[in-house]
Amino acid sequence: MKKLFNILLLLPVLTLFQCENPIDFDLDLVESKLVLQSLLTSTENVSVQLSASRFFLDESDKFRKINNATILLFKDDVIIDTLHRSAEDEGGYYFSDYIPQAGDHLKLQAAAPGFESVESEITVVALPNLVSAEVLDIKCRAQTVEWLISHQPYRTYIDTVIYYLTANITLTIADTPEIDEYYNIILYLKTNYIDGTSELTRFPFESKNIVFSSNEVNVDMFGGGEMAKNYNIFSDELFAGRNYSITVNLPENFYSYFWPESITKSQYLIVELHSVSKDYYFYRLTAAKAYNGMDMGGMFGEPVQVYSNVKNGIGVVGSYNVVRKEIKLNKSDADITEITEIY
Amino acid sequence: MLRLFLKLRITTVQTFKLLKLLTPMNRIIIFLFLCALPFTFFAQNYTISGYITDGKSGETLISASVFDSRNSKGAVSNTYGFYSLTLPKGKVEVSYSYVGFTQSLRSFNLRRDTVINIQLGENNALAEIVVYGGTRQELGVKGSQMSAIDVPIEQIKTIPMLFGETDVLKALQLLPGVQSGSEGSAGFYVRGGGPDENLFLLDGVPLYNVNHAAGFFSVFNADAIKSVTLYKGGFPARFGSRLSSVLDVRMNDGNNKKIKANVSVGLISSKLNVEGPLFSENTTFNVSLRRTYFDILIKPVLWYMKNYQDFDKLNAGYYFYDFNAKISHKFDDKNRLYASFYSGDDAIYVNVKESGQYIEDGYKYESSFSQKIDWKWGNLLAVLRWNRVLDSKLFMDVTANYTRYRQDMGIGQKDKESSTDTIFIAKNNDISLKYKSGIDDYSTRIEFDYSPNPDHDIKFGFNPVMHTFRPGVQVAKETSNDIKMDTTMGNQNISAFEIAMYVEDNYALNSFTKINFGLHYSGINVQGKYYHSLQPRLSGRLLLSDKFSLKAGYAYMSQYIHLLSNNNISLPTDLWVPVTKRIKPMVSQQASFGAFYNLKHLFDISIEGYYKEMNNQIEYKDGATFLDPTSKWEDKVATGRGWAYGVEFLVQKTLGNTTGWVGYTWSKSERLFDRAGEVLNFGLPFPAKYDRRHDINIVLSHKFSKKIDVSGTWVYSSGNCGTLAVQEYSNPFNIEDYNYYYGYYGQLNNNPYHNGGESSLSHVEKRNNYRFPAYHRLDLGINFHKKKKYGTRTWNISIYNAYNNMNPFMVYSGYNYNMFGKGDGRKTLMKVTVFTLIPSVSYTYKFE
Repeated sequence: MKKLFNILLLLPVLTLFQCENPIDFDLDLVESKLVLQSLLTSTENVSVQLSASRFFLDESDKFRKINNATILLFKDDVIIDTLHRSAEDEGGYYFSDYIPQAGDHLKLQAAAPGFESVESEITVVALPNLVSAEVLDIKCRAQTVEWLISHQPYRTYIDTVIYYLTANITLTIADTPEIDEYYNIILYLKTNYIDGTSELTRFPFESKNIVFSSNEVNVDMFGGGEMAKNYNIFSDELFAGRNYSITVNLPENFYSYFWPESITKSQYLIVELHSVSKDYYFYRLTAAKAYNGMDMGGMFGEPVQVYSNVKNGIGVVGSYNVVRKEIKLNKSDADITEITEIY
Repeated sequence: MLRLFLKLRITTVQTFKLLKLLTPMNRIIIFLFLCALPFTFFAQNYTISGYITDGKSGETLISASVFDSRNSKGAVSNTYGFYSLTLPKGKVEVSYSYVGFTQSLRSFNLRRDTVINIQLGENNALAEIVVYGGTRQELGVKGSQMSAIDVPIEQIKTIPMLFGETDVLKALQLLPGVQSGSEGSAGFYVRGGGPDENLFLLDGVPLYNVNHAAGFFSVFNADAIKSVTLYKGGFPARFGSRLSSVLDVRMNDGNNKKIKANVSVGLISSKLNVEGPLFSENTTFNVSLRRTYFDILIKPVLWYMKNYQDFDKLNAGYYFYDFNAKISHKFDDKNRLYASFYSGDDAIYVNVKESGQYIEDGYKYESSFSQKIDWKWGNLLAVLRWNRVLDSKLFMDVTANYTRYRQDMGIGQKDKESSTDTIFIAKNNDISLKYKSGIDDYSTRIEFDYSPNPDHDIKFGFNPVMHTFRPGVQVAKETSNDIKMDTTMGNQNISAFEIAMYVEDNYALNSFTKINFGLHYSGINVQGKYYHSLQPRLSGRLLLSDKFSLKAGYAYMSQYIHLLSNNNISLPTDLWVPVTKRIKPMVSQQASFGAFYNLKHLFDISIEGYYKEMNNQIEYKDGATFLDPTSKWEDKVATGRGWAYGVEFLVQKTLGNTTGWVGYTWSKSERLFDRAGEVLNFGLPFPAKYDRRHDINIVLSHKFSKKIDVSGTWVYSSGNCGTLAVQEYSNPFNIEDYNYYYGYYGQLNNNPYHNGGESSLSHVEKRNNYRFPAYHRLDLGINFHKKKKYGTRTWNISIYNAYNNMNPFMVYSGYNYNMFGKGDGRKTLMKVTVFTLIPSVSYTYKFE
C-alpha cells in the first residue's frame, strides 16, 4: 500500500508536463479570402483596395495585397469599366475613371487567381441636406502652467500658454422622408497663419443628443480604458423625414492653438455633414465595437462580427457624400479667461 | 374543490366564453379535470393512510409502494413518506414495499379509516448484492411521469469523481440529455437549454448558485442528501419558474434510533456528518459540514514566499464550505415540523504588505504598500416546514423560507511615502473598490396532496415569492493628497413579486392508461408591469404489457429571471436579473415521447425523443461585457428564439453486483436573434453555446465482496461550440483611432488609400462557428471497506482521466513550446488541459 501511495503522489508531477497542446485546424478554415474595401463618393473616381485575409495564426506582420486581380465595375448590371492599377503601386489599389453619381447602382466584381471571386453592390447615397450650422458660446481658456521646482528657495518654471477652445455647434438637418439615412459629422479648426501657411486640425466633439445613444461605450469596471465614442455617426431612426437639430460641443480639454495673435491671421470652424451608406454605417459601428471589445484580450467580452457586404469575401463597399460649411471665428465673439496653475 | 367551483357560480354560458379564451391545450386539460370530477368526489370507501419509514434509521421513504392485492389498487408515498390508499369496505391485503427492503404485509377487515405507520426492514437476502432504491414507481415503466430520472444517492457515491469529491451534479451530467459546461465544470445544460433554465431545489426551496470553485464542484454535499430526482421534460404542474429542468434534492431528516457519524478525509476537503435522535425518537437532527483546505495547505509556500520576497505580510488563499443542518420533530401522527438550513460560501483572500526605508542626503525616506482582496460569494437558505395530515385523504405541506445568493468583492490598496525632507511632498493614497451583486427571496408555499381514491392523486398549491435583485453595484473610494472621491455606480435594486399556483392530477384512467395532467399559473409584478401565464402540463403512459409502455408529455413553461454570464465557466460575477418592461419572460414548449421496457426486472431500457421551442432567450450582444458598468444590463443583451431537439437512449441496471447505466444522446440546439435592434449573427440561426451532437456515458460499478468494490465511468461528447475569428484582414479606414487624444478617427473624406496605414480586424463568419475537439475521459475508482470496532472504514482510490486524454478547458493563440521550451515554436491555437490524469485518495470512517 505504501508503494502505491508513493506512485500516486508522483503521478500529478508527471502529468503536469503536458498541460498545453496545439490544436490542428480543418483546411477550409485556414484558406484566406479576398478583402474588398472601397468608399465611393461623387467627388472622386472609383477606387478600390484588394487584399487577402490571413489565417489568424499566420505570423506575417503585413497583409498580402492582391495586385493581379481583375476588377469589373458594373452600373445597373452592365459592365462600364475594368479597374486598372498604377504601374508602381504594390498596395492592391485599383482605379476607374468613372466618378459615381448619387443614386448610381454600382457593382464591383473582383477575381484573382487562387481565390473565390467576390462582389459587392451599392447605391451611391445622395448629398445630405444641411439646413444650417451655428457656432455659439465660444470660450477660450488661456492657461499658463507654472511648475514648482523647489520650496526653499522658491523657484518655478513657467510653461508656454496653452489655449483651450470650447463652443457649442448646432446643426439642423432636413431628413428625406421614406429613405433610411445615415449621417456623419466631422469638425475641423482651420488656422491661417501670418506666414501664409494654414493648418487643418481635426476636432473631436461630445454630445448628449439621443441620436448618438446607439453608439455604445465601453469602459472597464474599474474605470479604466478609454471612452470609445463613435459620436460622429448616427442614423435618422429617431427623426425620419423631419428637420432635426443636433448640438455638439467641443471638449474642454482639447489642446488647440486658438488665437495666438503673434502668429495667427484668421481661424475657421469647418462643419462637415456626411451622408453615408447603410453598409458603411454598420461596418463602422461593428468595427468600433470589435476594437473596443478587446478589453483584457477580449476574455470577458462577447466576440464581435464586423459587418461585411462582400459576397464570398470580406470587407465593405460603402458610399458617402459631403456638405461643408465654414464659419469664421471672431475673437470678439469669444469669452476668454486666463488661468495660471501651479504644479 | 367542487364547493369552490359552485361558489364561483359560473354559468354554462360563462364557462364556454371562458373556454373560448383558452388555448386548445388549456381546453384539453380543463376537459380532463371535468371528466375526473365524478370519480373524485362520489366514491364510497375507507382510507388507509400513514407514513412509511426505514425501520433502521427512521428516515421516511419516498415513493414506497402500497398495494392491495384483493382490489388490485395501489398508491405511492409522497416526498414526506406519507401515503393514502382508499379502498372499498371489506377484506384487504395490503403490501408495503420499497426496493432493497423486506416487503411488509397487512391483512385485515377494512371497516373504518385506518392509520398504519410502517417501518420497513432491510432485506437480508439482498444484503450481499447491491440494490439501489428509487422512485421507480413514478418514473419507471409503469409510472405516468416521463423524462425524469432518480439517481440513488448511494449510487452517486460510488461514481469516481475529480479529487475523489462525490458530486451530485457531475453524476447527473452522466445522464442522457444533460451536458456539462467545460472540462471539470459542474455547468448544467439540459436538452439544449441554458444554465439559468434549471430549477435547483433543496428541500423544495430554490438555490441560485449551485457551484463552488468556478463550477468545478457543486454545493450539494452527498452526505446530507436523501434523494435526487431530475425532471427534463413532461414537467408536473407543481413545478414551474424554469424552462429546462427541475432538480429536486431532499436532505436527510436524521436517524431517530441512534446517533451516527461519518468522517471523511480527502485530498482537498474533509467532511463530517452527524445525525441522530434529539431527546427522543420524535425529534431528529442531521448536520453536515464540508470544507476545503487548499488555503491551509498553501501556507508553507506563502511563508517561504514572504521571506524570499521580504514582504511584511503575505496571506492568501481560497476555500469553500457547505453547512447543512436539519431538525425534524414529530408532534403526533398528524403533525410534523422541519427546519432546514444551508449555508455555503466560496472565499478568495489576499493580503500583502511591504515597506521600506532609506537615507539619502541626510534625509530619511519611508514607503509602504499594501493590497487587500476579499471576495466572497455563496448561498444561504433557511426553511421552516409544517406537515399536517388534515384527514386520511388530504395532506398539507406549508413552508416559509428564505434563500439568498450574494457576491461581495472588495479590493483595497494603500500607498504611503514620507520623508524628513520638508520639500518632499508626502504621499498617502488609499483606494478601495467594492462590487456587490445578488438576489434575496422570501417566500411561502402551501401545498395539498389529495388522494380521493386509488385512481387519483391530486396536488394543488400556492406559492408567493418576494424577490430583491441586486444586479451589480460598484462603490469606489479614493483618498489621496489631491483627490477625494466616493462614487457609487451600477444598477439599482429591483423588487419583484412573483406568484405561482397549480393543480395536477395523477389519474389512472384504466389499468393500462395513466395520465398526469395539470395547470400551472404564474405571474410576476416588476417595475409596474405584470407578466403572467397559464401553463398546461400533460404526461401520459400507455402500458402495453407489464414490461413495456409508451409515454408522451407536453409542458409549457415560463421563466421570469435570467442569468447574465459572459463565460463558459461559472463565475461569481454572473448576474441574476429579472424580467423588466423591456425584457420579457422566457417561455418554452416541449413535447416528448418515448418507449420504456423492463428486461427481466434487471434492466430499465428507455428511448425518448423531444422537441423544444424557446422564446425570449437572451444573449449578450456582440462586444458586450459585464465589466462595463456604464450601461444598463438591458442594453447589453438581445432577445431571440431557440429550438432544440434530440433523442436519448438509456439502459440502467440498479440491481445485482454489477450496476450502472449506458446512455447516448443525439441532440441539436440552435438560436435565432433577428429582432430589430437585437440582431445577432446578422439575423441568421446559429448553434447554441452547448450544442453538441453526440454524448455517450457509461457508468459501471461492481461489488466483488463486502470488502472491495470498483467503479468506472467513460464519457464521450462532441466538442463545444465557440466563436473564433479564424481570419484577419486589413482595415484601411483607421477607425480604431477613435480616441481623440491620439489622433484621427473615422477618416471618411478621402479614399481609403489616402489614409496611409492600415490596421487589422478579425473576421467572425458566424457565432459559435468553431467546434472544439471532442471530449472523452475514463475515470476509475476502488473502495476498500473494513469493519472496525466502532464502525466501518473505507479507503477510496480514484483516478480521474485514467488514460490522460488532453481535453481542452480553454484555448488561446500562442506558440508551440512546452514548459521546458521544447516544441516547433509555430504560432498555433493551444488548448489548455486543466485536469490531466489525477489520482486521489480519501478515507472515510462511518461510526455505527
